[in-house]
Amino acid sequence: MTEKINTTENTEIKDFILKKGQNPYSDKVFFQKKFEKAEAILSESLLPDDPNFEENLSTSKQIDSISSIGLLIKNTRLERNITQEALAQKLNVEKALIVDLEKNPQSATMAFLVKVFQVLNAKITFDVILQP
Amino acid sequence: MSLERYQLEAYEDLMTFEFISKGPKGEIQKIIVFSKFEKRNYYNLAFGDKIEGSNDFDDETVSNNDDYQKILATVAKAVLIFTDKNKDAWIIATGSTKSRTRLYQIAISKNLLELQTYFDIYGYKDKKWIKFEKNMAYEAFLVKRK
Repeated sequence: MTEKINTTENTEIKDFILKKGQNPYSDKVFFQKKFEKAEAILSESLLPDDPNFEENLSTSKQIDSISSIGLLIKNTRLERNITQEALAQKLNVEKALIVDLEKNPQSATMAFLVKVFQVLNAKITFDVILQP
Repeated sequence: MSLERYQLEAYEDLMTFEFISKGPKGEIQKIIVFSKFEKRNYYNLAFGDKIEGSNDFDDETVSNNDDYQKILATVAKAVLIFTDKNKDAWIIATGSTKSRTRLYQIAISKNLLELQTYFDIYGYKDKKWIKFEKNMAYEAFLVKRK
């Protein structure tokens, strides 16, 4: 049995036919390969509703505290498609140090931070803006 | 949306839609399925042809019924209906082949202005989601109702 309905106040969405009863396909798995492909993409990428997505879209990034440098390193690393392990190898350090650096960069030396960005092939600049 | 489309039939949960493609190859029953991922409010969008004599559907068959624009417009309308009920849903779509993904990209590009009145649209390229732009090749698409 079917019923013609209009589910919305938006007149741009025209009516469609609503089938009565439970969806017989609700437990059926269709298009499994496509589902798995999409799931893999979602799990490997920063998503538009992730809190730092917008900032990652930008090529110029500003930081407002020393702790933001960790996020900046993480985002730059992800943009370069480099794992924490691979970055650690390039820097000849343990992976745990990179994990820690991205969370708590406060104790890292300036020389090491510069080296990290060099390895990520990213240019860093400092702007000193005098406050009025 | 102004494009010509097929009449959609939907089940009450709005997770499955059906329609019939009509063309030189005759009538082909189509299905559009939204499947929820565990991840937050993300849904997979897939559609395909009914396999004759069974209750199964196939998303790899190229039915060539000379109506792909009408089919894609019908799928877009299903997304519109689905997101009218699930306004916070993110819908991801991937093509089953490179050429089909390119077909989706061309169809989105052609109707970008109209689609952007309803949706924020992103394309997936080099392992990153970026705002959809014309003339760019993407591996997948993500939309959310505005």
